[in-house]
Formats: sequence, C-alpha cells, structure tokens
Amino acid sequence: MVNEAMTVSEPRGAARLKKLYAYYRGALVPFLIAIILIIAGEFVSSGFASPNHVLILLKTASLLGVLVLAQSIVIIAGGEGIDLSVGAIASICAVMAAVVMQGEDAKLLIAVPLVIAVGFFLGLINGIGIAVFSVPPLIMTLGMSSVINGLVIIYSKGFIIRGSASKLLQTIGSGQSLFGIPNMLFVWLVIIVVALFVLGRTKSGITLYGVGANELTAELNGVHAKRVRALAYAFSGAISALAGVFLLGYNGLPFMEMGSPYVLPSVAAAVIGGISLAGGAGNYLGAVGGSVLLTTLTALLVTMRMGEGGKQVVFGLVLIILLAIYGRRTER
Amino acid sequence: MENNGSVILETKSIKKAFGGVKALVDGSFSCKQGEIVGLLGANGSGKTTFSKIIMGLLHSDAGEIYIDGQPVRFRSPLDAMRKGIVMVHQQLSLIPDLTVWENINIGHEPRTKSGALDDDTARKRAAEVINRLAPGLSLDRVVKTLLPSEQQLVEIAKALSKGGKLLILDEPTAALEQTQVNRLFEIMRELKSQGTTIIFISHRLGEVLEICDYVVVFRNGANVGTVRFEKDGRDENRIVSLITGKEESGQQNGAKDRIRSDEVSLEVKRLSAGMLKEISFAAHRGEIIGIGGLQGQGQEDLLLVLAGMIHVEKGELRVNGKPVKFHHPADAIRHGVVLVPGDRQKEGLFLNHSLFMNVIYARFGLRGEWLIPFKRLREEVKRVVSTLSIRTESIETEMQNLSGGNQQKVVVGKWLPLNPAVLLLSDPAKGVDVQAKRELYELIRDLARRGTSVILYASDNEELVSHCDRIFVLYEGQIVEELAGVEITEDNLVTASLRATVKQST
Repeated sequence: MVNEAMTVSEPRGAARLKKLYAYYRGALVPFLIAIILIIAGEFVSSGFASPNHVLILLKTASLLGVLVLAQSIVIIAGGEGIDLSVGAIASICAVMAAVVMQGEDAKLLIAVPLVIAVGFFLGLINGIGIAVFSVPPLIMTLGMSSVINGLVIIYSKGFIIRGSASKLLQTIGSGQSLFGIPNMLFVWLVIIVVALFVLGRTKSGITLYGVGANELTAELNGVHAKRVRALAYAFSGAISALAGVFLLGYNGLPFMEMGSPYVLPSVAAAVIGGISLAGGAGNYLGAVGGSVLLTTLTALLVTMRMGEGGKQVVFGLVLIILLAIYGRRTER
Repeated sequence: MENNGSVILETKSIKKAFGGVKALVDGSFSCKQGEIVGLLGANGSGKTTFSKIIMGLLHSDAGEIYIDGQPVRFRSPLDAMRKGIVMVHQQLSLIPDLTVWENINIGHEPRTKSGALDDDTARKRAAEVINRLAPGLSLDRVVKTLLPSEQQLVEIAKALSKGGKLLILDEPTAALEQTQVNRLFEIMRELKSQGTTIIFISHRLGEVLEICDYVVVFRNGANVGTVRFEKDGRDENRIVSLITGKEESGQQNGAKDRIRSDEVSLEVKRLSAGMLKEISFAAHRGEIIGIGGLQGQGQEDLLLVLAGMIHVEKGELRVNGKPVKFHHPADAIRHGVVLVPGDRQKEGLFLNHSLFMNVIYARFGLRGEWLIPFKRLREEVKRVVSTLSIRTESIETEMQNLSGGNQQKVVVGKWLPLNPAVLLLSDPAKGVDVQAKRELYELIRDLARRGTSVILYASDNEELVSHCDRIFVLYEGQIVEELAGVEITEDNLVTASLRATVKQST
C-alpha cells in the first residue's frame, strides 16, 4: 500500500536533541525555579549560592530524591496511587540496619540486603492490600505507616536504639571525595541513571506506565495489571528501605521516625516534577528537579531565619501555589 | 378497532440537529385518546430524539407540538408532566439507595395539609401500582438490591403512579421476563380502556404486533409510514421493509465467492458464560464470521469471553485443534486470539502516550524481551503505520492527536506483528469516517485472506452483510439463526433478528 501522508523519520542530530528536549521539558522547569531560588538566597545571605553550599543542598536533596523515586513508581502505577509509608519503611529499615551492623563494615553486606528484603515485603503487603483487596492506597499506606512506626516504638521500648552506621556507610552518606563532591551525589547519579533506564527502556517500565494510564487497556493487551500494581508498591518499599540505609549513613545513628519528615515532600516533589497524580505520566528526572527545588526552598526559609512555625506555613503555601500552577498547566 | 377518541398529541415536522448530524428531519405524528401506538425504527432513526422532544428533555429546532389541539412548548419534563405526559426511559431514573415506595413517589410526593410529607398516602399509592404490576414485591426493599427486571418494573410503576393521559414507554420490556411482560400488557390494555394513550417504543416486533393498534415507523429522522393492523393486517414483512427502507435484498455481499478452508482455527462447544447460553460454532481459517442481532443480546460478551476477559462457566474452547482455557487476556493472546475492543478510548488506547508505545504494548502480554529492542520495533511500527495508511506526523505522536479513524487503525494494527490466528472485532467502525472505514475493512479482509479467522460484531447491519462469510444471529445469549452465502442480505438479517423476538413472545 502506498502511503503519501506518512512522514516518519528517525530524529538525527539537532532533531534528536529537540526530541529529548520535548521529552524532558517538564523536568527543566523545577530545576530553573531551583536556580532562581538559589540566586535569590544569595541576596538574603551571601554564600547561599557558593559551590560548597550548592553541593550541600544537592546532598540533602539526594536523600529526599531516593524516597521520591519510591513515591514516583506508585504514582505512575495509577489507581490513585500514593505511598505514605515510604517514611516509615525507611525508618524501620534504618533501625534494623543499624542494629544488625553495629557500626561494623563487615556486617554492612548482610544488613543492606536484609533490610531491602524487609522493605520489599512491607511494600508487597501494601500492594496486595491495594490491588487484591481494593483498599484505597491512601488508607492502606497510612495504616501501614502507623503499624510500622508502632513496631519501632515497641522494639525500642521508647529508649535509644543500640546500633549505628558502619564507617563505610557513614562515608557514603555524609562524606565527600573528588573535588569535595559528596559521595551521596555519585550514588544518586547511579540511581537516577538506573531508574530512567528501567522506567523508560524496559518492558517493566513501559508496562507500568500503561497500567497507570489505562488499566483496562493494559489488561486487554494481556498485562496482569493488578500484579504490576502490587509489585510497584513492593519496589517502592525496597527503594524506601535503601533510602533508610542512606539516612542512617547520613545521620550516623538511627532514631525513631527519621523518615517521617520526608513523606509529604516526596509526594510534592514528584508532582512538581510532572508526575501526574492521575497515573501513567511523567518521569523521574522531573521528580529529581522537584527534590532539588523543595530542598532549596526549605534551606532558603531556614536562612531567612523564619521560625519553625513560619517555615511550615510558607512551605505549605508555596507547595499549594506550585501545584495549582502545575495543575493548570497539565490540564487539557 | 373503532376509535372515535379525540386527537391527544399531534406534532408537525419537528426538526432537530446535534451539531452537523440531523437526528430528526420530519417528526410528524399524531395519536388519539385510548390508542396504543408502536413507534419503530432502527438505531439512529430518530425515535428516541422524537420522544425526548415531546417530553421537554430536548428542544426542537423547528416544528410544532399540539396537546389536545393546543400548541405547547415544553421547557422541561415538569412542564410535560403537568400536561399529563409521562415517560418511562430506557435508562432507569431510580435512586439506588431509596426504597421501592420512596422511588415511586419521588418528584410528586403527596403532602399533608400542613405541608409535611404524607408517607401513608405515598405508601398507599405505591402499593396500588405495585400490586398490579409486580405482586409480591415488597415496598420496603431498597432499589439497589432488586433484580434488573424488578427495577424496570419499579420504573414503570413510578410512571404509572403519575397517572398521565399520555404514557411513553421506551423499550420497557428489554429487561423483563415473559410473565412480567404479560402483566405489563394487561395493565396497558386496562389503561387503554380507561382512555389513556400509550406510545410503545420497542425493537421486539413480536410484542409490538401483540399489543399495538398500529405502528409508526421512523427512518433517518422522518416518519416514513404507518401500518394499521385493522386495515393492513399484521404484516411483519411490510414493517421490516419500512424499517430498513429496502424492498428486497439490497446489499451485495463482498465475500461470497471465497472458498472456505477445511482447517478450523477456533472451535466453540456448548459455551455458557454470563448471559451466553450453549454457544457452539467453528471458525475456519480465513473466514469472516459476523455476530448479529438486536443490540445487547450478548454479542459483546461473546467476544470478551473469547478474549479471556470473561470467564467461561461451561463448555469448551479449541484453538487450532488444541483445547485451551483462558483465565486472562494474556492466555488468549499467547494462543493468537486477539481482541479489538468496542470502546477504543477506554479499552483500546493509552491516549496520552505515543503511537509507538501503544503499538508495542500489544506484545507485553507475551513472554520474554525485558530489554525493549527499540531499533527493531521502530521499524516494525513504521511498517504497521504504512500498511494501514495511518495518518500521523511521526510514530512519537500522542494518540489523542490522531483522528478517530486513525486511532482505530492503531488498535487493530498493533496486533498485526503478532500474526493472530483469530481476530475478534467489537464494532470496529463505530465513529469512524467513511474513508477510514473502507480502509479498515480492506485490511480485515486482507488479514482473512492470509489465514486469520475474523469474528466481527458490528452494530451496523450493513457492515456485517457486506463483509461476512457467515452471520450468527444472537438473541438473549443464544445463536438463534445462521445466515450463509446468498442468505446474507440486510433484510434477512433484520428479519432474523426481529423474528427471534416473535418466536419468544408467542
């Protein structure tokens, strides 16, 4: 059959760049806003935009960034997907890792796989509750969060938890190497590359987007949508566990509910980064931008010497305003 | 029957267009007191639009309506109700969480002198009609717990309790069982003897012949004729030809001269599932089988069962001779049985993703290939795009930016690389323009020529008649007739679809 209307051509050179730009355009905006905030910060307090301080900001953002990946996966999976237990899973896994490794590098290799497995398992319970028993994700993960935090309290009997990060883990979490670049940034870079690859170039990733975009279509294409969605929560749990390990490395010691402050920002950063709460759209690079933006905003508010109350008020307001702007932009 | 009643409703050349589509070009009609009129017509003939205008649910673009000789113009159903016109809609208007008696009284609740709701009177009113229409049905049952047929009866009861002088019943029997239909007919006759006029809209010719005094047929938005049983006799064929607009077999079947292969791709043996009962047939390699009949007789369910979306309760399926069991569409796809669903936007596409993604997603039900071979697949998708003449800027274009016809081509085209053994099509040309429709069917025929068995359900009879080797007519989940070869004409198909209803009701 002759087809004159068709003009499919492989993008090359400039065209290819243009295509990449189109694909990641959404990710640029949060980065741009973050840069503006950093410049604004320099006026408030000199040194805010210094390379050193920017690196510190990025290091802080990386911890949030890993949890944002956990959050992004379940949001992309659709069905009003959200995981409010990412913080609790990170907390319990940090505690378990610390207790298992007791500051020894040799036990790091046992502790990390163990807590990742625990995180996967807790996430899988979320996933089964949501996909099989149709518990709304908000309720399921909020409940799970409460259960997990409760377990940590029971375990510690309200006292300080005995255990700490090993030297190597502390070096990864808070140390720096080449040109003073924090080690955590290299780790984050690896996570970003792997995440973008898996989500964008593999059958698993694209299947996930399809399930989130239209569950029925995915089913009729022969995809087990429920299974995929349950697994999304399981992987979210595993990644949260990994984030917990990094949190432990960053802080050196575990403490109760250390992951909790990241829960709301993890959702906000994903949405600011263009990951639609409707599911099936957006990519992790945008969410990375969202993490940097939120971290910068928090730092700026601290620099402005706003009290804790004022900080929370402004942070919340900015979130609402940003999301309102984004919501309008993505509406069709 | 002698009828000296006065003319109760008269309409003169009512017109109504939705956008560019003319739903009604000449809605002229009249009926007298104490008559039961059958209003007939194919889907899209304008009869529902017509009745909605009479009810004040839609506003006509032109034309006049007279009630008792007085010109009227209803702005809302309430206006119509005040004039004594009451309608039972195809879609139920019941509130699921309220009880039977509450639903019956809603919108015209009796009040006490002080203005409070008068529940006693309300219950009495509900009891009166329910006892006649559905004896034994408790007034206090919550509507959502009722069977579909019981809900339909409550809907009818609700209309009857309003006690209008003109009652419009739009497909009231579709959800009813035979005894319930009989009871409804008794009441209709009783109402008629009391002077109520009834307009009875139905696809079931048998029922229309039984209950109506005469029928009015709509076709393409106009009143094309009246058959008075008194004068003209109960002439089924005459009514059918008025509905289809064709005297004798018109449409040419394009597939007649093909030779049927001996190899069977899909065999269905005594299959039951949901509303489907004891379906048996064999689809040969390269054959196009049509599934016809009135709407909602299980055609779509049949395709969903074959696609693994609805579970088989009883019976057997064989693909290429091997017995198979489908628990999920993935099982069907792995055996080469693929479905093009009826609602492409809700069931067939990811609208906010690229054409490329939509096409390659079809292979995700198969095993293997965790790493997507982008380069090879891009070539493959481009081949699909050019084979089907899909008009798109590039394969990266988002689906929602394609026209309906091109979207549909993607839904069909995504299966081509899989070389399906059986292609199930649920109304593939719905909402597709003429050009795209022709190309779509060309492709389907081409697939059949290369050995794929096609099972086609189309709401448009013409599509079935022009493309199928055999047509099975479904009625209430059963195959009631099979048309093949020269028997395949639009008239025969319509007659067979309608005849099924006559057999059932007499």
